[in-house]
Amino acid sequence: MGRHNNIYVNSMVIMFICFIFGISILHIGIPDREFSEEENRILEKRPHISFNKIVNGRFASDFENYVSDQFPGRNMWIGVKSDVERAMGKKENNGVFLGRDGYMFQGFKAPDGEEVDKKLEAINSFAYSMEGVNKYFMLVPNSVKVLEDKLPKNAPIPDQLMYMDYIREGLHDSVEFVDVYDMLYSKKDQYIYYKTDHHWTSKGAYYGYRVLAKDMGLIPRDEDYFEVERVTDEFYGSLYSKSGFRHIAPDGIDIYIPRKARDCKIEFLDDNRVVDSIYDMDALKKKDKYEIFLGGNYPLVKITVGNKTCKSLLMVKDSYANSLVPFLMEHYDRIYLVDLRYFRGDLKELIGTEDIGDVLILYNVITFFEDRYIEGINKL
Amino acid sequence: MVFSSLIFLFVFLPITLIAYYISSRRVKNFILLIASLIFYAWGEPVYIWVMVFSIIFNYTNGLMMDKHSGNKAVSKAILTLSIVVNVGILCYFKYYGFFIENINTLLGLKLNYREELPLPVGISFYTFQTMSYIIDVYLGKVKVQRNIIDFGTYVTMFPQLVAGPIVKYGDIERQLKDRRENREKFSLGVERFIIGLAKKVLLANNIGLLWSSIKGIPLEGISMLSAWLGILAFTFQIYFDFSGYSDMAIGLGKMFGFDFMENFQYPYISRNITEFWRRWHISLGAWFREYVYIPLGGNREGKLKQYRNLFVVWLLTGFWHGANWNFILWGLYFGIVLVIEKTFLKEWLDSKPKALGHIYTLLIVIIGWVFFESDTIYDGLIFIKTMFGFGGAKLVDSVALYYLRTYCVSFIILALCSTPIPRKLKARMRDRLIVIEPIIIPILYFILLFLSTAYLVDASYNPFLYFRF
Repeated sequence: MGRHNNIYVNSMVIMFICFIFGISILHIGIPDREFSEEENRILEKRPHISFNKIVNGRFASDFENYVSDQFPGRNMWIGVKSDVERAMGKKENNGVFLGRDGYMFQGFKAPDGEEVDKKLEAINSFAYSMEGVNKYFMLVPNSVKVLEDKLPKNAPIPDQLMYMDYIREGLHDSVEFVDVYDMLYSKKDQYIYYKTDHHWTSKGAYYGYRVLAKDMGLIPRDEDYFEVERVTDEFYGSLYSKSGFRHIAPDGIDIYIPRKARDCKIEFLDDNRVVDSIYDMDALKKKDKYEIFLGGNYPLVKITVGNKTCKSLLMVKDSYANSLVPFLMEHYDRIYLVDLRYFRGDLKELIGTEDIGDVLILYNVITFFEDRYIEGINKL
Repeated sequence: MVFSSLIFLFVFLPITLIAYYISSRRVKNFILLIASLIFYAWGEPVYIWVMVFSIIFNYTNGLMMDKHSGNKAVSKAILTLSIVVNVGILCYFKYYGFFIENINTLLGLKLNYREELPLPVGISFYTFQTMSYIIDVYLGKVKVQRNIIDFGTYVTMFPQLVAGPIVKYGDIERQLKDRRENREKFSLGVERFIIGLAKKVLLANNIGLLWSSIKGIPLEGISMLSAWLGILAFTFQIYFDFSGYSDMAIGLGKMFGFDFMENFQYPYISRNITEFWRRWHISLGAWFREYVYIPLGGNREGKLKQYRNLFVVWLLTGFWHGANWNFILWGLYFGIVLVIEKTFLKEWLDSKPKALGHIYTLLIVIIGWVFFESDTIYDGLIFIKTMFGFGGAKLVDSVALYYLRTYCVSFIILALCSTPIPRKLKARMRDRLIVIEPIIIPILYFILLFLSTAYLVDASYNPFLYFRF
């Protein structure tokens, strides 16, 4: 007994000492990283020490962030945690639900009624002041609603349709509400939402486009008008990052290219960059491959297409629009994309000077209810 | 700083251990004192002065009392001054806002006070510790401490600084001068620390998520099952959180050669409330017993006085937990139950099947937690109404089913870990097979430590996804 006890004591002591010292040494030894692709943010660097920072506690919090941000094997630990959670029967991590068939869902929280009314009011008074312009409002339901039968049973998520109806009813008559829910629901067995990302796929966007075109009085292009190209099979999207769940199959991204080639020019008006394709192939080398659509979100983008339709469109939008734009480019000479989160100009002035005929406000439900910048649509 | 953080585990603890073990015996307490002050000042450096004052003040009072030990009146004056100042500091930081608010409502005044005066960490604990010293010096139970470093080490000692156990000076007097660190003790300390860490990080934090989800639902919209799941979650959360913290404290103490008293002994397996309070936060109960109940006369001066003394103790116990009426109610509630048990209930329960006592105890405790956790007494009453099906709440709803399914495994593990079963299992395994002890058990501990680290790292995982929406 004595000898075994001795071995036991030694192994406990050695185990503990090796663990805490080993990790500290690794922490010191491994060079610090600057940026985390998984978390899409700059990591904390070793803080500089100063008397003031110590006294007001800043040094302590900076240093703590530094230790955790630069923790050795950070992603491995996060994977371990989510594996344990899954083994324990948990289907939710960090606001992301893990559903059937490898689908992850961004949770939806009931919005605050007052804020919803403020947004409605802002949109209505914006619409009211825009006479002589066709106005459309498209609110795209998220996968958490359309694919709800893939959600974990009884998952506590409010019904998006209820809130969409509220918006539809509250909108000024001059704004046409484009309802894509029925269309998307009827196609729910197709690949219309990414499994690991919170966006809709190009196919989902295509079905959205069909409904939109009908409401706008356009004749939508058939699907085989486009060449569908699978550009990657290795897309791990935002929900994958956010949830920390591992052992999930990646998504594929398809892009739709018109079989008939056409010229176009995309101008990023904030930094005067000009490109000739709305597909940014460099994005495929990055973590967030959804940025293949327009390279991400920018304050103001102007797209010029040689269609000779003499029509122009302004889109006030979130990132769901980015995969829908390729289809709308079939019908307009000029499309302006405004992202209210970054845009600091005057919308009304833009509509006037650029002689815009159609305005489309496009948001997905979750962003619409969470994003407060929409309230500024009329103030700018 | 808290124990359950990466910075403690992988920066503070390794450095402190090295510094402690390479220094000679004479300076070991000094090292501990410095480490404790850093531990305390981390993140909230201002309040270090409150603590330094408390050390110097009580140290000086001890010396003065010793000097005038022959003179009863002077000693008593010093004692009174000490207690008034110690309690005064505690009241100022902890109860000031509460008092002013109540005076305002009572007298219709509008006295101003600085809201949100942050509570200095651990002040409720170390104030009680310094008071135990000064009272015991007065009573002649302990010798005066002439070495300010040793005294400072006692007051600031980082393992038990933040959340107890409340170590009485008398229990540790000898250890301050003369203690032995050795490998056996260190390995026991490692065991205890890892157990405590796992209780806090793997069990308490996790089940706490369930309670905060259910707490987030408006009270009217909650079903009976949800209410029960929620309060059960809190029942487990507070036990594993608090006892986990005590385990870590005791474990760390052992790593530095100290033996602290036990603070929890499987309270949820008690058969009555009297027993529950002998198993829950033992060091606090012991403190109130020694420094309030007995000085008031305890049970020696007749039944009536005994009941009065009990109520004073439980009023203070409740109030100690927080500056709010619901804590006072919570304390008095236990006072009443204990008096009822003393008069007849305990005896009656003992004659009945064991199961009845367990159910009764848990029910009383759980109802107690409702008041403990509710923001107002009114909210607590509504919650209890829902739990027992009054007030028209649904029996079950889909939210409750979802949480039941999600946390089913957790609840089973939590219930098991609230009993001595895991410990007995370990002891039995140990005897069964000779290889288990030196190899398997350390591996199990390693797994717990590993998983706790994973959960701690995950807690800092903070994806910034705003750009992408």
